[in-house]
Amino acid sequence: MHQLERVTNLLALLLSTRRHLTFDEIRNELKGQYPENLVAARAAFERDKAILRDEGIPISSEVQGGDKAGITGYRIDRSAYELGDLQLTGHEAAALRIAVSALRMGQSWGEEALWKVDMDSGSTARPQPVVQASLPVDQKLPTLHDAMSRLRVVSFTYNGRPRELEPFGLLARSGWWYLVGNDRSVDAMRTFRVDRISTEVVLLEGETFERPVDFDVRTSFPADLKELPDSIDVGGDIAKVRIDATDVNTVLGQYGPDSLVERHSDGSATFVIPCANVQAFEHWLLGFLDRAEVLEPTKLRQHVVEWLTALVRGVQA
Amino acid sequence: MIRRGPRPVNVRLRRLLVMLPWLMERQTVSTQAMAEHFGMSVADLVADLTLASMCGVSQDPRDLIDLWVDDDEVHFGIPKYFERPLRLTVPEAFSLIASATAAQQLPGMDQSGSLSKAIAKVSQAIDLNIDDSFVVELETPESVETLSAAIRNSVVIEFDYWSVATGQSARRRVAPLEVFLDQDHWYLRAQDVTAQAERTFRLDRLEQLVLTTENHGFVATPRSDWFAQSDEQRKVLLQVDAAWLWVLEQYPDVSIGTVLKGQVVQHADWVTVEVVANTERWMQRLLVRLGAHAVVVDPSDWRQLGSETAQLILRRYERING
Repeated sequence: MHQLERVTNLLALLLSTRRHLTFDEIRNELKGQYPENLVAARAAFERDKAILRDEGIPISSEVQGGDKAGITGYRIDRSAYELGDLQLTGHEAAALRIAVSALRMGQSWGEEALWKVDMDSGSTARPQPVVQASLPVDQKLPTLHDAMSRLRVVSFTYNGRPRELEPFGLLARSGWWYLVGNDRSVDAMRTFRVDRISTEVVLLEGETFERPVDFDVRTSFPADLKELPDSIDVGGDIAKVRIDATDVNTVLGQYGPDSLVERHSDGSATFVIPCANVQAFEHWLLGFLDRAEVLEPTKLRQHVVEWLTALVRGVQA
Repeated sequence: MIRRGPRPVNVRLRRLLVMLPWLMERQTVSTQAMAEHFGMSVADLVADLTLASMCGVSQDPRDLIDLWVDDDEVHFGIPKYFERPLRLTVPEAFSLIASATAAQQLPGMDQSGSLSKAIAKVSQAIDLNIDDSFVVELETPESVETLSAAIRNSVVIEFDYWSVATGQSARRRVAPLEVFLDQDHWYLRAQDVTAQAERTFRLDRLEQLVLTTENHGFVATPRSDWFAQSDEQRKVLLQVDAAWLWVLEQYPDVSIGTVLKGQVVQHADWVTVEVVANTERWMQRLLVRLGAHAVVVDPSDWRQLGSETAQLILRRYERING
């Protein structure tokens, strides 16, 4: 017998039963489907259960009493198994289909979810949205999202250190996913980049938390990494930068018209840009190569010159 | 001929548990339409449904799942076990909510409010609390809306485009096909009418956008990995100070190792990194960002690229000082 057939039969049986069934009862109901050898049969049953649980099927187990005292019984509560009817209108279902098509996440999860929530759709045509976006995806995200939504404490390793975190929020910003929450190991708010979490995320059994009422993940840490202070003192937190005409629109798009200080006759312009984090600032600045130049503060300008001079000397040495 | 291994049991089961209630709703469906809907071959579909028709709590025909495949159609009889689909798994719920939340910010996606209502219904059904704790930010420039309209109406557009490769702007006349966000930048994929070739443009380098009255007949094909289209692409081997590897984190196609392939070690604690450089300009930017904390090992003609680029930038600082 094919394993898929046996697993499907087991699922049908556990969904149909009104009481918990022991392994012996299951084996008896599914006559001839498990090996005769008891050890082999038990191993096959455990594999089947693991498949069902990995698929998110909620198998309830309960230790029996009476003449089956101490023996575990199994069943599946139909109400916990089934997705209810979402009562989506045609427009709402169509909007979801377009949304899933417009967002590339490198996974089939969205498509599989649509099959379930949009059972009424008879259309096989995939909508072709003219605007598409890619979202970075990480295998840890669904678990983090689930823990955050259900107010469950999680544990993982980050920068080589084990953490216990109350996950307050998840934010996708500038191509990365960030996790913000209260790190219980230091009892302080911390921000983690999800792709840098180096181990599996585990939900801690029975550990829950309360999210601060006024928490908003958008304002929980600076939108611009250049605003995060570092240990390099360059005499100010704002830099004046002259940008060539070719890149003026790029900077306007990044920082808005309020950052523009002066337009010059050759089309170039001077902007004010946050530089509290010198490393992040220089990373941004050097992306323009010789089409951008720091004017002020003088110490920052000198820092850029020293950085480049070290590169010239380092390679020549 | 490509030989394919057997499909895993879990994948077949997952599909079966959503196909059966879907089929039950319709009673009779063509195998072709059903296979297309679930993204599988007709042969695989028929194999799975045939197997399902032999499943039930016992082998008594009255207990088996009541379906049969007849010619090119599949029929469903009396519902017994799987009348509703399995609830959303954690990855499915995340993916659906993340896609819909992000799509709300794209132009024209939620004008009627249908998407917001759908998100609310999905969240309620799976008992998820969606609020300010879950945010997907997609900063969308104004030109995205204009370009979307041009794509919907199949209208040729014109704009000035600044090229990184040449350092100059040139007027372009293109048939727009798709606007997309990748990592932190928005792009336009279009057929360049003059060059008769498909091109990808970064929106923040595009100016003086004009919609013409001319229609075009180009049809968008599925997008390939546009990053791989460059004919300038080269593999570059670097030695990098481990403390500065964070600079490389934003780039795709980076392989980090610690063993040098017969090369001279400049610094014993530096690591070997292989990157795929799309253009020389791209490599210049990476090298000046890494500063003196990295050296090019291979190709040899790029060993001085970082130094030469640093000197180019320094000349600008010297010029103003002078």
